[in-house]
Amino acid sequence: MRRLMLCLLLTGAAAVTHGQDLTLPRADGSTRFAVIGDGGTGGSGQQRIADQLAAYRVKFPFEFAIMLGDNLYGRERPRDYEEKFERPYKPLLDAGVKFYASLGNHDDPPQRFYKLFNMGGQRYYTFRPSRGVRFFALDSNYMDQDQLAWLEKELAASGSDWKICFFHHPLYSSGEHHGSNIELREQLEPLFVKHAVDVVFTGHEHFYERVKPQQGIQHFVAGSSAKLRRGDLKPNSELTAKGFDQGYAFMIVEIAGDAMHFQTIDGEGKTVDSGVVMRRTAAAKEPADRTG
Amino acid sequence: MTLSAVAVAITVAWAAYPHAQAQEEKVNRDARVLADYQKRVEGYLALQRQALKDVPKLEQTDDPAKIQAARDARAAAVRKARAGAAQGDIFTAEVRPLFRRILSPETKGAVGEDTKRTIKEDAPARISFKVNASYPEDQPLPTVPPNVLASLPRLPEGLEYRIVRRHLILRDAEANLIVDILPNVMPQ
Repeated sequence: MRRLMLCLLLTGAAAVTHGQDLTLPRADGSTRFAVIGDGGTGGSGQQRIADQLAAYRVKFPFEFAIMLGDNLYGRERPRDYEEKFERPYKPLLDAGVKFYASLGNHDDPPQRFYKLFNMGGQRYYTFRPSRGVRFFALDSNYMDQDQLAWLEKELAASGSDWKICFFHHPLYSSGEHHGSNIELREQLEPLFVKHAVDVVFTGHEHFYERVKPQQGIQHFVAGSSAKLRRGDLKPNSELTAKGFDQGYAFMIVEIAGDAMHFQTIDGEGKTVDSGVVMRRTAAAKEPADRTG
Repeated sequence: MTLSAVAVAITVAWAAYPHAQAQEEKVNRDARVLADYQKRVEGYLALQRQALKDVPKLEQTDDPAKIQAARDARAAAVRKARAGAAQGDIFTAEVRPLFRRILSPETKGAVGEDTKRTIKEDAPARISFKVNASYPEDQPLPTVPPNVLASLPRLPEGLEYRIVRRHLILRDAEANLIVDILPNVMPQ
């Protein structure tokens, strides 16, 4: 019986890892993380991505994951935390992967008190997982003057670190359903430009889009880690460098020196996008971003 | 200056005087309404502080049941302390035209269209809400566009604005309580 169980487990693992093709360099001392957006459904889509995350982590041991909002859809009772977060990501949580959440429009702000979301009790916060890399988690549902002043102060103090912002609503998006959030862009982009933010990750749109760099900043939209709005990407959008709206997706990312390598993976474990983004200060010296 | 030029200047000044006076009165009235509004907001916070003095604070925990329990306790305490609360206690009749005027420019032009779209897109399904009741827990919290937030009077920590369709809600974020409602404040 035990042999049969082991056999079944191995078959299951093989099915999940089918199609795995890691393109990231796994350099010594690099910063490694995963990106999931709009993940908190508790449904089969979330589970599929959670399984792929766990499978990919075997080859690419990322230390933490950032969450782009809509962490818990619907009600937020204790059992919802279990069904929509703790259970699907159990293998990762058990392995010590830390999750850093930002709030989406389906999230109630008291999520910030939930320790496993690592928000430190704040709607917006910053953290530095390794030397030279700083993240800023923002609450794009409620971008008030206090938050903008805080962001300005923190960005100014972050020096030459990689500056990576993540939040829910995309400043640039080719989605038919939502599209770019222009009023948010008007508030945030001047700060991002002034303080040389390198990369922005957002969700809200239930597809994946790598936006062509805007004002020197690389934007990713990755809100299909449990929900999918198939065919929602506008065809021939001038914003899109690469889009994928035919399946669930998540990202794995590695920062090594001035290069940020990324790989976007679908629910079947297949790579749908990959490439390298250079840090802005370094990019001025480098020829161009290499993406594929 | 000729005598006729002086006469014209006096006539113009005389004609403009009522307009300037009206403007000044309007500014004073707006300042008075805003001051009264702020006082009412502070009054709510004072009442909230008193109601919560024996209620455990929301603190970081890995047990969501504790978050829920702390929140429910806060809501119950504030609700009890405001048992007689009614719509318009904070958003008075005088606040409505002022807020409408403040918000009107934010719904005009290209950014205004985007603002209205954001509010509409993130709006929850048809829900009913009333003062001193909880905001429906299974519904999304509509995003408040930053330009709208920037135009409204700032709120102290713990209170927030939310716009549901055309209605402005004042919400106690940690208790998830609807403190007041200003109906139809957003221009169509």
